[in-house]
Amino acid sequence: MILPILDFLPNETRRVVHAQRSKRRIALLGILLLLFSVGVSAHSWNSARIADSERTVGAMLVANAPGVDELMNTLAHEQSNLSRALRVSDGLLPTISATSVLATVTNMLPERVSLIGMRLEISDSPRQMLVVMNGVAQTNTDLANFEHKLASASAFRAVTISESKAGEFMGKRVEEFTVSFQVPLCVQVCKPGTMRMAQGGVN
Amino acid sequence: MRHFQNILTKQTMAVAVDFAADALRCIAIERAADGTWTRRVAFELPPVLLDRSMEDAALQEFSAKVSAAGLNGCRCRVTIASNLFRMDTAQLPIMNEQELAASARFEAIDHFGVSEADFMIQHAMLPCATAGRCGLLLLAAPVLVIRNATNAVMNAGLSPCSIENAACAALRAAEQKYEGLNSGLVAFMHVEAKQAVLLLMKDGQIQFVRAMQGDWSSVAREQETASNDNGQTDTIALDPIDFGGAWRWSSLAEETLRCMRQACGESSWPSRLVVSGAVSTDVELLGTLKGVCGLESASVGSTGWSTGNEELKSDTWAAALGAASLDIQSTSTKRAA
Repeated sequence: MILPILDFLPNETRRVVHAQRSKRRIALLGILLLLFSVGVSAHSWNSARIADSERTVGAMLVANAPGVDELMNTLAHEQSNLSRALRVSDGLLPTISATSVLATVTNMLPERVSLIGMRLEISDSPRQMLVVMNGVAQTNTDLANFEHKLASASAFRAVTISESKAGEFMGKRVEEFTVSFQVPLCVQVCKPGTMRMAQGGVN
Repeated sequence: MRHFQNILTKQTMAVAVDFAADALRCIAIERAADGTWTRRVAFELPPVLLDRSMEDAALQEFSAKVSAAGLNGCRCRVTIASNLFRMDTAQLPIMNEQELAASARFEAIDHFGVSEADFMIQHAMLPCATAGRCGLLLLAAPVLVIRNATNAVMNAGLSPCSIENAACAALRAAEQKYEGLNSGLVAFMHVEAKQAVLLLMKDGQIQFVRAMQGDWSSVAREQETASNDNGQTDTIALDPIDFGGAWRWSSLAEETLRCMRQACGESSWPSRLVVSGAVSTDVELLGTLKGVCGLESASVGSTGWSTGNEELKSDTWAAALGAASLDIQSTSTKRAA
């Protein structure tokens, strides 16, 4: 640089110019802020108007439509009643009858085995029939044969000889036993004395 | 809206207003996207007398031009004809900056014989060959002139950011245009209507300043008159001297020679003389200076500074371009950074 700038602009003029520019800048920013505020206000007012109209429509729908909550409560109550009725019905009217089970067991009974007592219960979970039988067999072989026949039937599960002891029946020596097993309620009666699984198992 | 845009956005325009003796000039140069500087507007108005407030009609015309050009609110640099300044050099003992400023002020008041209340004084350090002393360039300008120029610019809608001597601004323009101006001994002359300023520079440092008063505009007009007369086919020139020839500039050339002899002595001589101002392209002026002073003369033309739709009409824009070059440089530096 050959010569630095020799500035003759008075300091007070510089301040005035600076203040003037600042004032104009502030004025413009104020105008922009005002325009922005007006824009936002207009947008908000419009949004509020739309929301108000939507709320009015919603209130009208609520007033005119049936009570959804009341309907839902009624449906839930009816469903509860239906479930209870189904449980009662299942208890009273199982899909298989004790007679069918007894007929099937009787059909499997060997010649030298006799039943003395039998108890049938229906459990809810899992839904099945519990069968406990008391009887006498002439020999252990007969008892084993009877247990084998029961276990080989697909309709009967968990066949267990829970008790077996020597006893006397009508003056003869016999084997007193207690057998328990489970019968799913989904089995079907094919013909008197036989049952099979509903899925297709045949016995 | 343009008014506020000029205030809010970062200015990419260099605006300069030159209160020359022969005209009021305003130029705006805008930086294009590709980095080139394009002249957005350049207009001339009738001269403004700065010893009084600007007349309303002239101010309205100036405002209208500024407004039409979209320059409202723009920062601008102002140059004032150098004949309104007092300019000289002085030597002072080496001292610190504050003392130097006070001494320069006192020296200027004493040197120019002006009142401190009525004149603004500025100074610049110059190199000095004498050991233990420093050179000073002293400038003084009437407060009234500065105030009137400031008011005129502000009332027109512009925001002045600096006011300087037109010759100093023209020197800056010459520095921008001639790369060799900062090396060796070079003379620079800014010719205005009522004053010519001669500066001698050695390796980019000002060594000598002399303001030469004269009615240089009428000398320039002699050539125009002569040319017009020569265009008349039925007129025969009886006395060639009356038509104004190369020697109409002899007084300026001889004064320049005397100044250079005083400043340079016999040991060294400037390698060239660069001329700016309205008459800088006058071939006869350059020829006379070359013939009398014995050095190569060149002019600082207004062409080539910026691209624009129309060429600048005269070579009087050196001061305005030199002032605008400050903003051009700062903008370019910022862009580069």
